Amino acid sequence: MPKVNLYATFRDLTGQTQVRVEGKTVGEVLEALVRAYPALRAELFEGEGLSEGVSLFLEGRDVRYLQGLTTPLAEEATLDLFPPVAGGGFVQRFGALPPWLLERYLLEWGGKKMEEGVYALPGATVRFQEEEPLRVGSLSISQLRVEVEGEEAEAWFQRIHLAAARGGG
Amino acid sequence: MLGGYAHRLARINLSSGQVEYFAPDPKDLEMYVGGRGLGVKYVFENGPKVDPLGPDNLLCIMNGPLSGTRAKMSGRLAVVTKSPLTGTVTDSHMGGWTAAKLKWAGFDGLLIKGASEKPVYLLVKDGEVTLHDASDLWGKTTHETHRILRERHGEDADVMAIGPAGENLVRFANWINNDERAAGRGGTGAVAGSKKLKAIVVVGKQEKMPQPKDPELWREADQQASATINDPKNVTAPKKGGLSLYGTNVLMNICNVMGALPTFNGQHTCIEGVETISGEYVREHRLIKDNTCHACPVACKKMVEVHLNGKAIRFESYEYESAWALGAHVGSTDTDWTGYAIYLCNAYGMDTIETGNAIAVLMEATEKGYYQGPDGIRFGDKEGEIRILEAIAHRRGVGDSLAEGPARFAKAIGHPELSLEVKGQSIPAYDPRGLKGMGIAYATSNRGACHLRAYTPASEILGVPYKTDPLAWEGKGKLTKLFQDLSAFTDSLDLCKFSQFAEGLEEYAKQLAAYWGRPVTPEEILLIGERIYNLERYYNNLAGHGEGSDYLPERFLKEPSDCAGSKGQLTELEQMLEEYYRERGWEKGVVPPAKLQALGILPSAAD
Repeated sequence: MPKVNLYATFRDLTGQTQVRVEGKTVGEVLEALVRAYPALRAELFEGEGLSEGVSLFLEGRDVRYLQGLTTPLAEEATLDLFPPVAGGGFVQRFGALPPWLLERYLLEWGGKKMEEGVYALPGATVRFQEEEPLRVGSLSISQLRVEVEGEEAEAWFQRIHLAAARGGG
Repeated sequence: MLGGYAHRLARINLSSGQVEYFAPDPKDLEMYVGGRGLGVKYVFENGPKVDPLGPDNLLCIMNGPLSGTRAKMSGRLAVVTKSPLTGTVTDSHMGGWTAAKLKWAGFDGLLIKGASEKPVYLLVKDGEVTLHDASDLWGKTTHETHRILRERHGEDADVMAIGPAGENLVRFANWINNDERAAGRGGTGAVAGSKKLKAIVVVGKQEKMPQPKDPELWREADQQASATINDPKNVTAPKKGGLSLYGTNVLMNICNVMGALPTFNGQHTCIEGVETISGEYVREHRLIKDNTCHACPVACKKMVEVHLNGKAIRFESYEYESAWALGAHVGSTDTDWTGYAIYLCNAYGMDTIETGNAIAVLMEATEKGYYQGPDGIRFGDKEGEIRILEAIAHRRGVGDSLAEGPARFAKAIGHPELSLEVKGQSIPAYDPRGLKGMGIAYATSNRGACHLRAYTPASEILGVPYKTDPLAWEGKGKLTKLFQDLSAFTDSLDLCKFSQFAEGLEEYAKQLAAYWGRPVTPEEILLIGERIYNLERYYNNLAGHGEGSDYLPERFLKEPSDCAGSKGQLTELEQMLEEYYRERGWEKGVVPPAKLQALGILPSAAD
């Protein structure tokens, strides 16, 4: 039976971090999910289609770039379901940005530590949390989930984006 | 006066033997920084119409404001010129200590023009450049040249040399220094060969290391940069991170699994048995030592020993691109033969990537019956590979034609589609059917197909700075522009590309601000990068690379990938180009005058 990992506010709405539901396609799994947790319907769908802000990944691939709701699923498929960025909140997972370095940026920009992983900036609150590293072959890359909320969230989110910009070669 | 510089460059005319010295214009330093950026500025001023192999072409050997300082991973030297392979401006960078020693010898760069009648080498020492006879070195390998010149000028002397390939004007000949680091791509070694310039010897003492203008800020900047490079969770972490442990070749197994490894000249996107040329395997079975460059704790360089016919051959370095080009791309996964081919390319002074591509084109042409000459070879023919490699270096038989570059060779035999090239330069080790971002990065690279202008696998494979879907084209134009601008800047400092796996705009800005002695913002960094990228594009436009120059090999657009991870995929170039040009503000690959004015490249009407 396919697994669906739920994130952020979807966890609050369902009380679950992971659920198993029947379905042979992405659409069937989402329908089954909504039957089990009706509060999700308004969040997930716009008409017949997937709501624009929702991010749904199959083995790391955005299903929009596969076959959308008709994407076929294997019996042991894993989906990751993220809620839309809404209500002035901005969320991004950054690679190779250690939490201590983000804290340093936030302090330099006039941020004030409220509690572990929470900083107040003028007009915005920043929350961050280390997640499981991305493991690819013999490489492991740290992942930091950053969420910014508040009236000035967009500007601060872009500032963090700029500071987090890295590349490689 | 901005800090970090020697404020001295040499203009060397090899036709007359004259050497002049000058201080760089402070405005140029603020606009183009050094290294790649400043080199491109000088090449631009020299004119886009010069013959790359004629005496009028300008060959710039550049370092940057952080070269020779204690800035981590600051051991890169930029060679900038007009490429004989592509006809574009090109820059190629080598690690080691050459850049640092050039600064300590009193120089920000050497601008070399003209052509000598007899072979010469340059000695750079104590703020002076002198010319010396190199007749006895002509014909020698890079390794022999390093040894002889270091015996002559001392073991502290740093030597960068061309090999027989450069002398024979192989259009993808390179420079190799005595730490076996290569300024590999674009044929800068052939430019030196056309000038009869065999080597550059640099003698510099660390006491001449430039000091930061703002020592307090420097302490903070250096601590911050070092801490993130050394963070045990970053891939750069010494002896812990994957890049430190395995070097660049950690990518071999990964790309193979993703169906993103071009093999058999790109007819396939993976190869069976790839493990034996991977970084993991080489570390376990062939590693001798983890070597490093100036001011670098990462030590990604791997000294290895391969064994062939009872002989042990030691060299640096079994890099990903080299192992791919001279292994998987030519249908071989033999650890030792591939290593030997890498060693020979370094000895003869040839770009491993272009050499592997040239051999792969000949192999496919032979197998398809397009080439029926006596030198034909098939995929997986290891001895044949070495034979052709040597024929290219010495321009023997079919090697003479391949030495013109695989693109010219494929065209000459009536099958240009066999050459996987952009603007005349062949692709490196990422298949854009399995990594879509590489497609737009190759197509729009100003020096021809290249992974180092915009390393989209950082995002597509490693999730840096954020994860994108390798098989989705959406957003890759925007990502490519960001990476191109960022790398144009770091290439001008000149810091190693690997630094970007741990450092970001904040770290670069702080370090440069401490040296320059004035504030630098992340926004200014990206603006400088964008300016450099646009100046390169403008040069290329004037040199004849106009509309339609940003293309991809037909194979990636028409022949679907056949390996798991990307099976059935093609590259959506047209869509990505549209997005990219929109981000750049270019018109079909041409920079409009308004953009050039906005970036300060051309004077505005108000000026």
